[in-house]
Amino acid sequence: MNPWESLRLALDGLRANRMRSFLTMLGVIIGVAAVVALVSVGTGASREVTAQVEALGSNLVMVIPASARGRDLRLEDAAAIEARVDGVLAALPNLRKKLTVRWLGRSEEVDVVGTTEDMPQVQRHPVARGRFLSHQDVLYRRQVAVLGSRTAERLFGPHDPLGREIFVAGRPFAVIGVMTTKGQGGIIVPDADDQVFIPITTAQRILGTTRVGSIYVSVAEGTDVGLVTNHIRRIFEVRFNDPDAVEVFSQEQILAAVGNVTGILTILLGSIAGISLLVGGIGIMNIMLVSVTERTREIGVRKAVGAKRRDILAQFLVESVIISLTGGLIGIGLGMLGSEAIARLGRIPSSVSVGWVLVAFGFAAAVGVFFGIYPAMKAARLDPIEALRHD
Amino acid sequence: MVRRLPPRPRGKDCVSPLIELQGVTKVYGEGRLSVAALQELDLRVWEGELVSIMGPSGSGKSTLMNILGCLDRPTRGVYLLEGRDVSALTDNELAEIRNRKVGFVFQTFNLLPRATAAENVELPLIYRGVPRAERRRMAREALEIVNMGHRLTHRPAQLSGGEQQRVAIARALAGNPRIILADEPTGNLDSRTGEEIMGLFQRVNEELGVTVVLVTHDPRRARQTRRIIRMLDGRLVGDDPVPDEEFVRAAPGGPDGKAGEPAG
Repeated sequence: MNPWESLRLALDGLRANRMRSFLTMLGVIIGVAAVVALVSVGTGASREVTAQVEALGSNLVMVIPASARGRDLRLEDAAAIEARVDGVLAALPNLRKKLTVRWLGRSEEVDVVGTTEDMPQVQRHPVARGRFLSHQDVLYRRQVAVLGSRTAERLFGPHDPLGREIFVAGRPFAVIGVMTTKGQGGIIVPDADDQVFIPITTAQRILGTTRVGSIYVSVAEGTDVGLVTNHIRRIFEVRFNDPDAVEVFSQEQILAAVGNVTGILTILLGSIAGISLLVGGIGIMNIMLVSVTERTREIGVRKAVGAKRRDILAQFLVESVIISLTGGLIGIGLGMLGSEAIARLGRIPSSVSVGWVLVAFGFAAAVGVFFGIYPAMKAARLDPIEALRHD
Repeated sequence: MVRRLPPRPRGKDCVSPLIELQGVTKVYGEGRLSVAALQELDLRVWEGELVSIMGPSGSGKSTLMNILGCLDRPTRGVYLLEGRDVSALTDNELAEIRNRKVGFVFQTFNLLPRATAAENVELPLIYRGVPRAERRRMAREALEIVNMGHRLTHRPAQLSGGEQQRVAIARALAGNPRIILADEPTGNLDSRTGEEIMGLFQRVNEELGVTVVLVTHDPRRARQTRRIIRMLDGRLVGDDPVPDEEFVRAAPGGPDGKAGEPAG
């Protein structure tokens, strides 16, 4: 019997029990939709996180004090890195704290970042209007501030922030610039657009400290980042007489670590969804077994007039594969809609990956074959005499 | 071991029988629980015969029909169909033979309820791989032979019992089989309709030369065939031709259902 006949027979069989076919398909639809939606959200989140880490600047090495060792980084350390390590373009000290920022009656809690004039270049984040901090601003501890675009929006609304006076932790600052919108951040690194940049020296004075929170080192293109990392590590080993006083990561290492975590997360989400697909498959098997029992007499008639085992096998197997493939296609569509909905509602970016869609579809097909084969074999193996006697 | 030649051997090739059973035994179960449904059965049926099998329930009629129809294999013995030993073929080979050589007619019609009359008749042709258009044509022809050409698109539920059995006979005829096996084909029909169906078998047998073997409990139906085989406890206990003077011609059963008085 040719494959088209099997297909036609299977479609006839499914049409005879529309409601039942649909409900069985629903199990697959939900399973595939869940896989596609959850994996898309997982992939989207992972891509977003990667983009955020990349947005910190290219060829970046980060230095932070090891939390357990109680050592502090200072401005001189940044200067030392810049002066002594070959291939370093800039070493950017950071001191970050959430502080109250006020303008007129409005008051917001914002990440205030003490930094230097090198920030726009190191983090590739240029000023949109006005100017960024200058060397003099840092040197003379001026009380000037550059606003992230979202912060400007939050504080000033429609008003022009340039030249206005804001209060940061109760001290007056002149707004000298507004940054461009980077549109990234918010998941593992702070929202790049919701920050207030002030000179690091000023920040230290406000907070009454001489330490810096971290140092971002920007490395020249073509320089071996590994060598730079080792050199920096060596400098601090000597300075603190402790090889583990600071942690030095290259951006690649961070990306790899983040990639690991989000990869595991994605696989976890996908597996949970995969279980529901498996349950859908069991639903197929269940209904196919019922169908084989109900149609025992029909199978007997077919065998009596000359259907071979493989004809009966094909008829039932094609039925279950049609259920799973159609369910798979509908599920992919719903999953895409679902991931879009999750992305909009939860403000989590989602990214439908073709690879995962194919995996989900392939899995659905495999479920159809795997869970269809037993009922189909049961049907194919029926003894025609017994089957004809069945009622 | 044929005691008597069949009354009217027909067909070009009368030298070797269409069906020959030699010492066929069928045992169900094993060991002490085993039951022999057929015991050392010898039987020959020539092409073009119209044979009825009679016997009480449990005498082995159905088992014999199943073996003749290649739905089952004998436990021992040889079954030659057109001179070919089919007693040890695989399931697939048997399916092939059922498809090409045998047509079944059942007491309960066994039509597929969701399929139209034409689709039901096409069924064996589907498994033979006949292309759709030709299948249609052959199904229509077969339905016309049984005077059901006007009911091609009716479903079984829309047909009377007699009409359903006609469709079933058309299905059995559609693939030009060598033999039609009918297990109590009139058992579920009133006597008038049964008469029509018997008339149809007689016509098919005489006009198309198809060999027909049918099981019946009704002596009157048996006398509407040309040879009566009697069974008891898995053995043949009688095998007699129906003399022409005893043969009952059944009503022809035309499309208008004119079941006339049986001719003597």
